[in-house]
Amino acid sequence: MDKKTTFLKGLFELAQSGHAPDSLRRALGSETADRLERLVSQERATNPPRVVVIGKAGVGKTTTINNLFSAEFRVSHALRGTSAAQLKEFGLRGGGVLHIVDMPGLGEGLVEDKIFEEIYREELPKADVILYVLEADERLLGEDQRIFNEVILPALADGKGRSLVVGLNKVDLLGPGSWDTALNYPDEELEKAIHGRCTDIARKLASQVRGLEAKNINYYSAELRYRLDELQITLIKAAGKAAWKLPVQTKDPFELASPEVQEIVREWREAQE
Amino acid sequence: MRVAFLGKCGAGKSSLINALFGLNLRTGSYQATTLSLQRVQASLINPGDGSSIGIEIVDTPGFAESQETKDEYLEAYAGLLPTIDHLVWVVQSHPRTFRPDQEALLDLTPAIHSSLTMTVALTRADTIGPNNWDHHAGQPSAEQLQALTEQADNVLSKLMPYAPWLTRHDIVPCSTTKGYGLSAVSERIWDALVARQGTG
Repeated sequence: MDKKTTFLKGLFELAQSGHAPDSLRRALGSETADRLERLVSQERATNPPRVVVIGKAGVGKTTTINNLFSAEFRVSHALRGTSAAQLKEFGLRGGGVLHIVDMPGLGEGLVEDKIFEEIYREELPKADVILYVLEADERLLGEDQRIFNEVILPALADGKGRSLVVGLNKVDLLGPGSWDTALNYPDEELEKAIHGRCTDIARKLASQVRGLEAKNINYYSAELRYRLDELQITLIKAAGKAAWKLPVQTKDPFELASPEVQEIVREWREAQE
Repeated sequence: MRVAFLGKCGAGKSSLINALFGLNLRTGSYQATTLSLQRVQASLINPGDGSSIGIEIVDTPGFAESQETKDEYLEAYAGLLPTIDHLVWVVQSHPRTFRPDQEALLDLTPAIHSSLTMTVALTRADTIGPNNWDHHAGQPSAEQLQALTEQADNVLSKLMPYAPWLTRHDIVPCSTTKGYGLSAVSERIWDALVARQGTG
């Protein structure tokens, strides 16, 4: 990225923020200031990439969203006609805006699903990227297969290309093996269990998600901020052309490692400098 | 006397059976392990005087494991239910999804005889949020106890439309890894079997 682009981006951000000082307008001259305003509203008018986050109730969709783009959170409002789906707007540090739709979870009950599945049918076709979140400590995939067969696949039957990303949350709760709290990282046995789980999922969802392999399953823990970077990179790639709008900036998992370990690393870093 | 354990795949049926009766059924952590009905003999201990009776335990494959196996499993449950004396419905403490339980209850309604009693075991009570088990007291923390009460109410409201005979007393939180609530589950099974023997 050349200097000019960076400068313009900064200018855009300032203008978009709504806090542009009068001195800016004076410095630019009124003609240029007006032009900048037009450019900013144009930028606003182009649709930000839209990631729709779906899955069963309780898999951690909201926690995932909050920790993925935490620093950039701007505003959340209920989507028209439903309080169950939230559109969250993230103003990203690198410039641009990202829309994430936090959808109601499916499977709470037959009565609830009737309402929520209607929202899915409405929202899924508007997505650029669909993130389907699974949770690692539940083995139940029959329900996910049903959601794919009856809700997701029919809603996407128009043939327009949308990317589907499969995320596996809460891998810290899986066993055998355990979470190494000192490192904030899975131990070797747990890593094996995670890979076993991914293989099982890929096999069971094979007929629903074409070409799904264990290595395509983005396993992570939103709560413990484990592998959120990887998930974000996958989402960026999946967003395709709009990728420049999505700089990587997740919550740092290191902050959750044992304070002692953090201190030692910090001291070492300081000594290096 | 025969007691069957039913529940979603991964709910912890085999683990619960092992913990309750000192058995050693195979359990799995990331794949379904019980693939057909498993019948084992066990002794149920009278919580009152420590005496025991021999009973048959039936462990079942979890439902909702995959769409392909659904019909096959339902058929097995439907054949089993008319022959049992008590049913333990196993639900994990923390999930919010009850649609599969509701669907199974709906499908199985014709097979459930009117005198059948049921215990709903909420397993993994130790892991319910905020996941701060009181190690010192060997029981759920105050926050967890509150969450378990709320979840038991929630489970009742989700299941009752499909199992109208269910009451709040039928729902018992437990944890196999922490040995919590297991005697309460045993006691319920014992009482149910004794009551059934009295009538039948």
